[in-house]
Amino acid sequence: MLLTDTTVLLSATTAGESYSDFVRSYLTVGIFALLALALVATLLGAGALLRPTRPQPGKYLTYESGVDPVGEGWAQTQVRYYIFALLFVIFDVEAVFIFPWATRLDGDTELVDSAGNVFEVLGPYGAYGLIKMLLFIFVLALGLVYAWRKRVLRWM
Amino acid sequence: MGLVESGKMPKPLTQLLSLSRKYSLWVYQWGLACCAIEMGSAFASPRYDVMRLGVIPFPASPRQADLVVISGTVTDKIAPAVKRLYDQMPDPKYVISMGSCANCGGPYWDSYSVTKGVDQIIPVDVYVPGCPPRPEALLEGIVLLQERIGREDMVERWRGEPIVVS
Amino acid sequence: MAMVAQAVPVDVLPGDLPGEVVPPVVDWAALVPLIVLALGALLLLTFASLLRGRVGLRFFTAWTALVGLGAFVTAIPLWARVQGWADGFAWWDPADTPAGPFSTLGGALGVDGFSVLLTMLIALAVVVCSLVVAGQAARDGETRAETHVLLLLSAVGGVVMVGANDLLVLFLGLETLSLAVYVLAAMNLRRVQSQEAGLKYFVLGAFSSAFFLYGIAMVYGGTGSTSLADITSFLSTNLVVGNSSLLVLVGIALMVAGLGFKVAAVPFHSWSPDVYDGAPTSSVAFMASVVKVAAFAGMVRVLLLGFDTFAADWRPILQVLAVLSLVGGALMAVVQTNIKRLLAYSSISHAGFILLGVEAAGTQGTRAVVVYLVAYTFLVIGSFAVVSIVGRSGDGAHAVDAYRGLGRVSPALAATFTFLLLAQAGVPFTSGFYAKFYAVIAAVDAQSAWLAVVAMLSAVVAAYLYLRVVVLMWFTAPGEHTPAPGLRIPATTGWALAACTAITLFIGLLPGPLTSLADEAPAVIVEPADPLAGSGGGDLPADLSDLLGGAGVPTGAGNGAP
Repeated sequence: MLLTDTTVLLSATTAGESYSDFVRSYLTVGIFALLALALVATLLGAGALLRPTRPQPGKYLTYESGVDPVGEGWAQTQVRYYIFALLFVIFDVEAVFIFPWATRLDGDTELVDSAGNVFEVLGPYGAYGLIKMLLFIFVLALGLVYAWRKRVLRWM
Repeated sequence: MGLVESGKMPKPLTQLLSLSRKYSLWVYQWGLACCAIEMGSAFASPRYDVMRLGVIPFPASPRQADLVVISGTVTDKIAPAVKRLYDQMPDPKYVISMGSCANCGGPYWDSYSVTKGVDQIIPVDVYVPGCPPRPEALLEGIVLLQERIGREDMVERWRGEPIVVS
Repeated sequence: MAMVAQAVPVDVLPGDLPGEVVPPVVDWAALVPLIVLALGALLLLTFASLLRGRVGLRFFTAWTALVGLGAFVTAIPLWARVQGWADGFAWWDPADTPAGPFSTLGGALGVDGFSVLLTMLIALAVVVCSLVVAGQAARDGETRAETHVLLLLSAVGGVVMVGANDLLVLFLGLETLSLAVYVLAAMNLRRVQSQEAGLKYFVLGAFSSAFFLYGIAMVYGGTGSTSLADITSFLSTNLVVGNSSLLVLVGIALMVAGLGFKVAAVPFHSWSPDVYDGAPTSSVAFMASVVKVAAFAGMVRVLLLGFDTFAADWRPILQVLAVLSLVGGALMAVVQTNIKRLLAYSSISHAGFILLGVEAAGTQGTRAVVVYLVAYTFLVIGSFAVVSIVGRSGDGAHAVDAYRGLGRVSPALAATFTFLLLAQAGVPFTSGFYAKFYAVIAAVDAQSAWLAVVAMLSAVVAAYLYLRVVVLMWFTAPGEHTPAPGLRIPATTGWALAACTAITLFIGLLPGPLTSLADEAPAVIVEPADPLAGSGGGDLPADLSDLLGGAGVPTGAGNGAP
């Protein structure tokens, strides 16, 4: 199906009609982008025009409740935040894969539309699909075991 | 490049700007001594709610505040910090001196370690007398400040006059 | 009012096809090498973490070597089936499935001589590399299992790549191969160059994978499919002109760029010296061998099997890449003072030779590629094993000056290294000679004799740089960087070195077995078997059975296969 769509699109280029339809849909995007830029420019520009400009050296001091600032501005982040975020992303993506699979694990093989026509649709995934997903979860669980034994699941 | 400083803004616009400024003051969350308790009840309690005047007591940093209320005794030790924090506020900024100690040294007028009056180090717009002043007094001070802001000459203010009497 | 079915019923979701979920045809026997490697990696990871402290480096190495050997052994029955060995060896039912190449996983993976041979090569390379890794780890006092696990996981990706019949499957294999190797490059926590190498490899590799994926998207837009079988049939039945051909050409160019990065062809080579220099030497042995094998296999499958009709377009590109790699690699290697960077640039020139085979296409070209890959794998693993020995503890002593007078300090090691370097130069009686010989033959037969001339000239330049190291080892006095007498050679590295040398010598003296194997290993596309064939495909409408692919008929003809 996609094959025919592509060829239809490409052959209509010479006709010139679908081409402008295609571009017109991107005009909306272009106008939206321009408006966004204009909004930001207006707000920042109005502020720049209306505010007082009085640069004073005192205003550039580092704020530390009025006392002399000590120490550096840089602090070292601990790596455990990164590792937790990494593990979260991995298992979150796993969940994203599991949700749609779960909706089709056991489903109808027939659908009836409003006119009473019966259509056979893609059936349930059945045992085959279950085993595949279990394998997937098992492999990721092995990774979790590895992370556990490497002591990265401890917060402190 | 400011439009206001060049003096070419028409009066209705400056009045509109002043109106919006005086009803959207952000107060720096800061207190020194017993007057801070009264200030806290004026700002935070529902009875003497200051937010109904448009004054928002959110900023805990001078960088986002336009009003600071010096409430309490200004000792010589804290005086440089007060000056520095006032300097770190962006223009246009306003100061309310709350209580006798901040006004003129108050009961500690004879002490070796008190700065007698915060106006020795920073320019003050409104003095609120009292020891401590009631929250309503502070609210009246804020209302007076709002009236001043409404009447002040924006061009002079923008050009850097710390106190504009109008 | 009418009981006529609507074209698109409103409450049936788009994309639903009438029918039932039918699992694709999976020939599990074909997946056994892959499963062995993957399961071996996962179980090693699990055991190493569960039995932390109770198992050591020897267990990990033995496990990895056994898994590699297991993958090698389980690939032999596949070879038997593809070649159609006689009755005693026929473990499949000849009446059910004929001998010859076949595809599995619904057409995602193809099993033909090319992929089985290279699977066996990767498995052997994993065994030898794990010995080298063990030697270096024992000397440096490392006891972790992750290096071995990553070797196995990367090999899984490599095995997927050598058998991929679909561009997206190739990409999956590429990413699996690459991600493991990025981590391998950064494994040495004590050297900051290792971290730098890992980061550089990762960033540039991610870019090149993105290029490759964009190429796949372009090809999909131009041909309507990512399956190599469908692409070939589309391109051979439709005349592609205008915008569509632009899409396909851009797609091919981007894919060549992505794969060119992986094989470190000039001008995509800039990561190679830095990464080879910084990464731990035993990992570099793996990187220089298996990664190149998998990437060249991917290139052969994509270009020869998918885009045969566009050969007139991609052959010049590859010829230019080959010339640049040969000349650039040889010239830049001459001025190096670091042995690892020198070997990296020499690998680039070897990649140029292999590109000669790829651009030659056809049976000669594939044979040249296979022979060169087999010879080159063991050469480069052996060379980097020597480098890891001379690098000593801490993996830091890699100046070329460290090889001064090595002949006096450790004659056996120097002799082995001499033999391996001369093999890389292409001296007769070594495997390198036959590798270059077949590559040149392929180029000449494909009417690009000028390319063969350039290749031989660059081989002369490269010979200079290998001989330079040989001269340093034997004809100069030991300098301040040379290791002291009594250089400790770790046992497992010694075995790996012996194996590589023996294989190189064997192929050099008796190239017959290897070349006959390579002759029988063309890359072939087989249409995936129709999963509905057994249930009476006549019930389905005509267009549907087209979408699912016809009956399982091999279409080897016309794709560069004999």
